[in-house]
Amino acid sequence: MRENWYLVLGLAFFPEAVEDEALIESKIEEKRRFWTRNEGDIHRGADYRRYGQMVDEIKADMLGESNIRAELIKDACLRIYALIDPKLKMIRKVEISEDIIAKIAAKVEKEAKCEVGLDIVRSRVLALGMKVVASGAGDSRALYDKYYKLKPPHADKFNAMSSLLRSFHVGNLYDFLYAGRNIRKPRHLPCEQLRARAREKKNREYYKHDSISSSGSKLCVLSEDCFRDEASKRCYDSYLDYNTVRDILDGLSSSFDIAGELSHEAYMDFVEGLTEVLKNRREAEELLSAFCKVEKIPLAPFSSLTGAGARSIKVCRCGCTNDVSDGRKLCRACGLDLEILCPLCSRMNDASTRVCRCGFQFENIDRALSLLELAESALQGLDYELAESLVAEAEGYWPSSPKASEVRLELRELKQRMGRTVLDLRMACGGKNYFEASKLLERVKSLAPGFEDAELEEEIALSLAEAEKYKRAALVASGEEAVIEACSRAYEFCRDLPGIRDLLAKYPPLAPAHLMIDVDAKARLNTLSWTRSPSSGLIYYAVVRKEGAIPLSPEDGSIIGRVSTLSIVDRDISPGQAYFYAVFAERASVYSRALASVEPILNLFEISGLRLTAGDSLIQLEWGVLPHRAKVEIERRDPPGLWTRLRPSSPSSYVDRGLINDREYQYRVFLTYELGSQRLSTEGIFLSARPIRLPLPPARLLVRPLDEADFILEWEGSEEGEVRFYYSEDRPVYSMGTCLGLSELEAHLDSLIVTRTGLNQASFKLEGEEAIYILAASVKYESAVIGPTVRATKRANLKLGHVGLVSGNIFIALEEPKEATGFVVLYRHDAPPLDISDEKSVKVHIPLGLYRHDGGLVIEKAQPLGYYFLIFAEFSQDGDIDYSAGCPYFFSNIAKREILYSLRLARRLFGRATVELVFEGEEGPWLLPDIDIYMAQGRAPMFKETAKLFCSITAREVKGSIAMSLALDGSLARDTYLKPFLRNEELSASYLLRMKTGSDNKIS
Amino acid sequence: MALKPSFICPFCFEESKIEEVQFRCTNRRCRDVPDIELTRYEHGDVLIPKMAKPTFRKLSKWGPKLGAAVCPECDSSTHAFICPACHNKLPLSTLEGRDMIISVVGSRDTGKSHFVGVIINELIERIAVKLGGAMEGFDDTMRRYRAGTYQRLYFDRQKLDLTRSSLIDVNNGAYRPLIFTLKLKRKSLFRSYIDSYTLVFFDTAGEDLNDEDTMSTVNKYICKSAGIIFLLDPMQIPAVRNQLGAHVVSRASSVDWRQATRSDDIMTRVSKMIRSDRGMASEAKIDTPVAVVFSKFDVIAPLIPKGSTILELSPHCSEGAFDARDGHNVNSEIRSLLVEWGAESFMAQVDMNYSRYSYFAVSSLGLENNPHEDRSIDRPRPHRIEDPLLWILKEKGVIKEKR
Repeated sequence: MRENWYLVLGLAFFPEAVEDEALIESKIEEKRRFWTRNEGDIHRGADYRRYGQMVDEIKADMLGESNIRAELIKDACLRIYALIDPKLKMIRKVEISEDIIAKIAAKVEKEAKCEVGLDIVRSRVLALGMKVVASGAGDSRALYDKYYKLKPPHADKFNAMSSLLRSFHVGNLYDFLYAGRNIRKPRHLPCEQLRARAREKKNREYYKHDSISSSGSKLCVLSEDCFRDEASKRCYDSYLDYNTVRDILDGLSSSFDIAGELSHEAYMDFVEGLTEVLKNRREAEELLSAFCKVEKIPLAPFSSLTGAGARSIKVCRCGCTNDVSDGRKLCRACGLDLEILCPLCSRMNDASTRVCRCGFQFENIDRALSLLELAESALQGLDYELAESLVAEAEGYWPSSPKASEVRLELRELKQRMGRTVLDLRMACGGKNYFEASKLLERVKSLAPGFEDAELEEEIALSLAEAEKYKRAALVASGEEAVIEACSRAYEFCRDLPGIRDLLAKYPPLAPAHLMIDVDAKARLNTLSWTRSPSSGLIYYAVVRKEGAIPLSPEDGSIIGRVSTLSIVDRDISPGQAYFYAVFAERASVYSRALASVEPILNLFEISGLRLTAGDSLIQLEWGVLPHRAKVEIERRDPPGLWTRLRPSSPSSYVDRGLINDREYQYRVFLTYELGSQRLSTEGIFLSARPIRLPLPPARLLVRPLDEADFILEWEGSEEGEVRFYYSEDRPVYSMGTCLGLSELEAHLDSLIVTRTGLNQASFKLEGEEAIYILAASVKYESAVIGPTVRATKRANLKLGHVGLVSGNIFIALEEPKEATGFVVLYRHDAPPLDISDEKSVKVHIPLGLYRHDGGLVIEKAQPLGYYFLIFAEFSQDGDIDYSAGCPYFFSNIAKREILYSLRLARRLFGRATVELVFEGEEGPWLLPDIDIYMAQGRAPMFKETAKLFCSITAREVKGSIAMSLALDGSLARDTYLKPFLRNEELSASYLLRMKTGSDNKIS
Repeated sequence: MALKPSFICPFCFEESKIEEVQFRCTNRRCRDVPDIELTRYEHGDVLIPKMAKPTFRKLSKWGPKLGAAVCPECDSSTHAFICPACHNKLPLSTLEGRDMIISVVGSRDTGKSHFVGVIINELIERIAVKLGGAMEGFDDTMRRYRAGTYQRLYFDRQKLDLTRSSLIDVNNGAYRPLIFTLKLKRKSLFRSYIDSYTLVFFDTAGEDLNDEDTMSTVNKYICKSAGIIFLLDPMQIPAVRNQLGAHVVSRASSVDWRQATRSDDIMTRVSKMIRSDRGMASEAKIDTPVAVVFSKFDVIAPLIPKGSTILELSPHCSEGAFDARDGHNVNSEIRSLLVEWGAESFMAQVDMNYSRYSYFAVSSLGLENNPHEDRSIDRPRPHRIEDPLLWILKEKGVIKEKR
């Protein structure tokens, strides 16, 4: 077997060989093209040529019933083994690592010039009795590269942050976000918490327009990006670990440079430092050993992980190494248990375990601990809600966590002890009641001695101080305006400062005037407006509503708004309910007299969502949900002008039947309300409609381009109703024959502006480049019946190339338009085809595949006639077909009139020699066109330019043949040739001047 | 049909007597034996001969007779005739019908491969049908043709590469000619017959015609040819080249005209080889019909004045015979053009060496189908490609002439 087609074709043969014949055939075809293209390749051209010639052989071996694929697969394996074995032999190892396998595979791939997977090398290693081990075991260089040399992804991006972080004296984003907070391991917090913290920090601390805020804000944005998900957070964490590891290893290197040796103590320090990062003592030692090996730092065998020493060392989750030989159970650094009970399976695990056997990830414990730290911090700030949510989240990560229980207990105790005090304190601060807040703060401090909130204390103190200042000013002020001004200021700082309200009460504001109430039944709201209170100072207006009686004070009724503007809208009203309104001017919680409505305000909601749909002899009325206590009433105005009361039975619609088509009917639809003994009606809504027999939709719609942007629309059918056109860039969802309201149709589709060019024909211009779907609809009154949909797209005009006769067929070469799916060629012999729908034309459809096969459009068996062509490119997509603009072309295949000529020199004994020239045509009379006879020496004249005119013959009518005798003027030179030419070269399209067999152009 | 006394093998072009025809066993179970002749023909190493089924002669006391023969090794009968010289399987038409070895010669890059590639397809698809017959490939000819030239020209739509010399690339399979059987109906007074002709096309690399030694080893078939089609690249005529744009010339010709061997040199060598093969005196004219053909006519068509016959479509196929009047006019026009363009020396060579010749102009790819910059072409739509072949067939009496 000389060639193995699996290898040549690059088909997989191990562990699963490709056996799908369709796949193999397509691969052979793909390769054949590749070989054909690359026959000239300087290295492998000869191979490719050979393979190209062996395609049939390949097919015979790989396809069909007589294939030899099984043998080829076996052979391919053997060939690859023959390349693998010497390499494995050369290595002389019993344990082969994965990276060696990868290297062998790469080398074999290069030698075999085909794809070689790792599996085949691995299987061969096992078959030869060797062992496959994970790469990196004992591979110092790989470890060195992994932890020290190779930067983690996006390291450059993170490096760019360092200058910003330095300006805040922090080393990483975690420290930045939780600077000043009592949380030890913020990097264990979940991403949502970190992002929320970044947002909070940005809004609260870095909202100003200074350089610090700018840098802080940038870091907050970067934090949000870095912690957008767990993957990006892991990426940032690996960058931090990389930096830490690198710093430790650089420290080791520098220590060795200075001291010239590495002591056991120093070694242990570095190991512990690395363990803290890697959370694995053995890995840390291996890395250190690998680093020393690569950096050529002599290292004595210091490992502590042998024998009993190894068993007495336990690494905490925080990375701290603990010697448990003294029976220690808790970490010496963080106090966490050195053995943790898995919350899922209750198995006891070392604290350094990453994943429990049951699958629980101990990383979740870190997260829970960090969240609980945050919860404790929130408890200190008496933020119960936050603390509670953080504990709940922590319990989600670490169910039945003892630490969470502790925090929850603490939270409960604190809540019981504090009662509503904290809540009241918050409310007082929120309402600017700082006098009360100061008292509550004192109480909080006495109940929770550890509570400290410097910001809050400062806020209360400052507000009170300012308010006191203005109060003092008010007390010494003379005149109403000065007192009001000072009191208003004091009120703005602190609303409950004793004495201020008493001072203001002496000067209540004047009431506003001219209360106007506008009742809008259709919009179902009341609008109130009034004029300004003449009092000075900051005046607010409290608007109060009361059912059944006039509100006497701001507390008498429900306040619908406290505004500084002079109007308000009341939407929260019930239909048919009598309301009274009052407006009070308010200045520092001192109210004026009431400006009230004397009459009750009654809003009788009008009917909504009313819609009329006309049908054949009927009109359907539909409306929305009726208001409470309302009933619908319908009246129809009949032709003499009388109103007929109709009785609707359904709560949402009524069908008025037995109407006369095409007559307009007017309806009044209104609501009646039963208010006690009273019955009130709304004005109602007047609508009219005309019952109609719906027109038939257009039966056929055709769009054809006139030019690149101009199109013609043609349609058939729809004798009744007006045909209108709508368009959209997406295919309309309406199916043909659907009837719907015109307004609904126009709400979804745009109207197409067309110019009528005939009874069933219109033109339009397409402005955009996108394809549009045009929908035709028959419209009568306000109803539309959906017709067909067509697609129109701007298409480039066809560009014709060579058109001529090839092998008795007319061949039309043209550039293939983009996205074309075929061509339509129309031709006539008598006149140019009018358009694509010209039924007198012969229509030939040429699919794209045939066009590509022939390299052009072929009209078979050309007749000797003139062909008026009109050629269209066809574009079919999802069943919609559109065409390019027609490309006209005239091709003359009319047989030429053949004129035979013969020349002969007639010598005479006496007199001059003459040239006997005979023209022969068809038997009947025919027209001999103007002929010029040229002469040349040594050859028959071919070009008029290089020959000499001998004589000319004028056009004449001939019957059958004509002989002419041309007298020679003097003697002719030797080798003189004569040849007749048509004087008018354009006539060569109609005449063919040919020499008769046996005659010769040579006359001398 | 009666057997001929001798035949020319369409593979090795050796002439053998009919009684020397051998048979090859076709029984798959018969043992394989070393085939030195076949190995030699395929340029193999005779020390590692190609293995094939045994060959043997059929001995008959009643003289040469074909039909079935019995393998002396396995006693199974066979109908596979093989050439005694090269051990290639022979078509029956070689032994019974007339041989029509058509030599297509010309210097490098004159369009020989394109001519052969296109005319075979035209013969199969159109010309043979119009002449009232059919053409079929022998043995693996059709497969080789379809997989090679046809695939490249008609499917990949790529211009063909220059043919590699058989001396340089002995393994390219080019030493195997394309063999077809042309079957034409002939009517007599009472019944109609079918005449078979073996058409053999041998696409030679132009550089194999550059010296006599190579020609005598590689191109033996020329001496046995029924007709020679001699292709001339008009771009190698300075007067033509100067009238065309440089980019037109470069797209049509991939070989620098300065490096191409002159056509009259090749004509001289071909003539000398035929004469020496036939033992003719140097003054004697060779009677093999020679069609002197302007190839790549599509490139020079714009230079030809309107009304010229060569611009018209070929009338022969539609006539069902060779139109002598058209041939006469085309011949006259091409001669005039050659004189106009200063190629008299070549004409003189033709006139001095051959008694039967005529001039033609063809375009294998068709008018306005000059290869694009990326060597891609439209599907070939040849112009007058059948004229030279039909003229040779007319000269050999295979088809009729219409005067």
